[in-house]
Amino acid sequence: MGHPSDVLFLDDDDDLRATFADLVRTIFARECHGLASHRDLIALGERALRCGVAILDINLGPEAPNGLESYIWLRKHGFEGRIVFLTGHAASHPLVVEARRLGDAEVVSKPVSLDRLTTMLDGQPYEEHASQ
Amino acid sequence: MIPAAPHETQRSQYSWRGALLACCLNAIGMPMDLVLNRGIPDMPAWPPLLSSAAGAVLVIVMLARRRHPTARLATTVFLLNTLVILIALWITSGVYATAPGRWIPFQANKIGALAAAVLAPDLATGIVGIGGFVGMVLLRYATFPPALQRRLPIAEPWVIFIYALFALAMLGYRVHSVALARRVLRIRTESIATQRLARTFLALRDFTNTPLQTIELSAHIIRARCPELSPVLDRVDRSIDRLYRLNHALAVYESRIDWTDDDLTPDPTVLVVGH
Repeated sequence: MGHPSDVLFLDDDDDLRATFADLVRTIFARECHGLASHRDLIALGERALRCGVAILDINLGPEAPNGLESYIWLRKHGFEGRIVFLTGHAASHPLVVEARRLGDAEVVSKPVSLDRLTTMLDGQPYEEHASQ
Repeated sequence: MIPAAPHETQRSQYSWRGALLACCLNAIGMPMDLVLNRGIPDMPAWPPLLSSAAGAVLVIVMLARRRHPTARLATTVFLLNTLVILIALWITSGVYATAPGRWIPFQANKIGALAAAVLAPDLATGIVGIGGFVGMVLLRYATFPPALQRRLPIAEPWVIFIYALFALAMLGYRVHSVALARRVLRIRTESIATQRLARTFLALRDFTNTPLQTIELSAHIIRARCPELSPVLDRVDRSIDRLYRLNHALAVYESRIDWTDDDLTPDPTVLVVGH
């Protein structure tokens, strides 16, 4: 069962996904659902919607639905938690610009520091000077 | 062999087309003179035929080299073509001048000067071509006996200078326009190359972001589980930090990219490793 303290992590890179889930469990002592695709997110269904934080990669691979579509799906299905886009793309990239326009979602560039990750998972607003 | 730059190739092709058209006009146009000068006593047929044949040969040469056109070949062919035309006109103009009836002098030279302005491969060749047509008129006129000179219409042969002026103006304008078009092409080519380089750098950066993130998070996990490895992990952190700095340095290329629809579902591996 999903729980508000659970973290949803959507990224198509297997190693990063496994590492992130491992880190969340080891350092933050929270459950992390690592998902590789938009389809996995839909398959997780209700459990995904109960998570407190969703961290979404914007680019989920060529010809695959992107993180913005996952964002729309989550909000459409009543996800009330915090959504953070994690991206390796340039800030001027069209998908990143579109993600910034969504308003209630944050856009964070990879690689993200542990400090910033902590603020993301704790639900605190991130201050630019904190770390990068 | 190093391939020619795009603007050089374009220049060669442009010169080649102009010289080819000049030769075609010679090959087709000069025999028309035979039709026009029918009935003129002592008018030899061989000068226009020789000029036309030379033009046809030069057309063949140009077509044979169409896959490897060079500006030098175009210039050489253009000048040879002009030379054979001038030889033919020198001979026929002498016969026209002495023929009974009214002759409008040096019409072919006037057209030739204007054609040279439009078709010459470059400025220098154009000036030589125009100078050839104009110079031949003046020299030919000088060889006419005074009685023959007096038979020419008013203002002849000096009207050729008006044609020369127009031809030179047209040549200058054309050369300037072509140079401008080439400059635009060069800037565009450079812009495309810069964009490609910027895309490659950013793809390289995007490609390394995820593995870097994995390494950094893995280091945190190891540090939490095995605190005694901290000195080792400090070195890993410092190395990652250096890679981050490289990462930030590549960010300057972001502003140089005009994103397209193809970038909406990018696959950085294609740009970085090619498959």
